[in-house]
Amino acid sequence: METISVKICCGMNCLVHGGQELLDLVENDPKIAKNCLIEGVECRETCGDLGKQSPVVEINGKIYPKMTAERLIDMLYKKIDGD
Amino acid sequence: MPLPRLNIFEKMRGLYTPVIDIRRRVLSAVARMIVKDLPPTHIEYIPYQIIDKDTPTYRESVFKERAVVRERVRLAFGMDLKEFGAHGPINDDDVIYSLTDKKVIKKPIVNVIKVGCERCPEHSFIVTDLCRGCIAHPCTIVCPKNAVSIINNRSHIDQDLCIRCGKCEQVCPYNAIAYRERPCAAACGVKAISSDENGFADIDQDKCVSCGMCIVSCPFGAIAEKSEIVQIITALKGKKPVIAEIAPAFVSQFGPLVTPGKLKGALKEVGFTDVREVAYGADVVVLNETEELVELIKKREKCGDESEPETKCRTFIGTSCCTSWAMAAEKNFPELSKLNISKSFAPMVEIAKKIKNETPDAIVVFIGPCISKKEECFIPEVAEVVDFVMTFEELVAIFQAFTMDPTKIPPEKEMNDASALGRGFPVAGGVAKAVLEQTKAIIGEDIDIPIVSADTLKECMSLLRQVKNGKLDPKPLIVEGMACPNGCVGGPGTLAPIKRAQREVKKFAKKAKWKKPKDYL
Ligand code: SF4
Ligand code: SF4
Ligand code: FES
Repeated sequence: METISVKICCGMNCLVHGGQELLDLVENDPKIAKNCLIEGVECRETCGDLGKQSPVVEINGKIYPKMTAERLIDMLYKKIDGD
Repeated sequence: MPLPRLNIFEKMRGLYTPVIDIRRRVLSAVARMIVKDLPPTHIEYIPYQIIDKDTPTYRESVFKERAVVRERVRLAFGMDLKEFGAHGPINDDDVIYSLTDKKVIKKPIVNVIKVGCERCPEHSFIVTDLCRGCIAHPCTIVCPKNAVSIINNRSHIDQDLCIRCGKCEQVCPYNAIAYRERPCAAACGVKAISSDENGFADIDQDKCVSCGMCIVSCPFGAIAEKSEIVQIITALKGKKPVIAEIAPAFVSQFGPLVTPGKLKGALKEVGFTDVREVAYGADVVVLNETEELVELIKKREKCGDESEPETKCRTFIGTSCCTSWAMAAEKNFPELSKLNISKSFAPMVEIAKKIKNETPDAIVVFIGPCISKKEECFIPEVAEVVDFVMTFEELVAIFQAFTMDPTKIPPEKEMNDASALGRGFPVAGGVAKAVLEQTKAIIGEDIDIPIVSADTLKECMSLLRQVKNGKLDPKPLIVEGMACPNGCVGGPGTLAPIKRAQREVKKFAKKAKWKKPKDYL
């Protein structure tokens, strides 16, 4: 299986609106950490003014605004398990 | 199998909850209003910006959601809360007074927003649905007050008789008896929170030491602190030099991409003229406390002589850098504290003195993880040198308001003001360790200096009780107290997960130019 690329935006808007917590979450999930290439990245220019669309996550090149922990875990597990 | 129980401070840590979201969005909206010079009337729009839906998201109605935001906006301006039941616009005359570069906030720093408080039941033991009405019913047998009986084939606790000893909870084979606690009161290590006559949480301001732990523990976001961001932004836009002093816990708070050099660059971009390390102040504190300790060790033999009656001699050095700890010690163990808590000012004050010496007209802004530093500024000597206090969380609101992203800033030269020991202050145990190492470097390795430390006010108070009753063996010479879990890195104004913060603070300490304060001071 190909490694999944997970880029968590760590620009200022995303960082304070949940990005920091998402990064910590995926880094500390053994299953995700093993199967994904996790990176904290610069602003993806998607956050909007005052971070209205934050936090932003990029998975395999696709941008997802307003990410939540629940949704991210679910998406990544599904990708890892291949369905 | 259930996982190990988390304490109140661990439960919501590291989770981005809607409570945090609202708190931060109010701060950035208020900061934006000041950055953009919007007229005072704009304040009335903020609750509608934050709560912009027509149906409720968090509470029973959008009106209540906005009512809570209105109070938060007032606090963000540094204004007092509106008296509960005193209906009126947010923008009363106070707003005008807040739009200044002078200090406006008054006590109390930590406030219950009553309209947001859900009046959680006070601590009690209750029987849950897990009760099977078993034949053995050990709960009734162990209760020393006969408060537990079996009614309709189920255990029942008479709350008027119950003394909350917890024996029934301990013995129930089904874990059917639960201990229920108010999160705000559970977080308060000095028992400052009770209920007012309507059941809303109420803070006894004589007991409260502004640690801020109730703020981050209330799951309804009903407790909040006053902010000075409005006055700070006004100062940044003014003519006087504004100098930031940044607490040693800052490392990694702004994410993995923001190096100390980038942070410094970003602070300068939004208008600070310089950025200094509070760790320098920590070094001064280490030296002060070391001096006190060396003197104590010298004088120790004489203790009990006529000149020094035993009750009058100092027995340990209590650290003084955590304001909440020092205040709590003073309020709860007055005699012991007067004698033993160090007279040294906090690191924030020591570096501020230096800044004011070099630049007398500077406006000094402390940036840290800490809310109790806002309280410390009510001490006149402190107010003379420290103008404003803000948390890391509040600083980011200012960055957002200026659309300033530190990750995009070319790094400045890193600060290099302090020793490794001073930079190690924000991790619990760091202060005691620093004083110990510096003292040994002066008087030699072979003298035995027992140290103890505690974090969270509850633990701190129980440690002091043990010290007072002579329960500790060997008797400690250094007693360190930190009000926040794991030290300053666990403070209420932090942004980063505690583990990462601890790791990065230690790494940054290793990069310091000097090992100990004495190497350069
Ligand atoms: S935890 Fe919050 S909502 Fe509950 S009583 Fe305390 S302040 Fe009120
Ligand atoms: S001492 Fe701390 S936890 Fe207790 S009421 Fe004051 S700020 Fe809240
Ligand atoms: S800060 Fe994340 S997209 Fe801009």
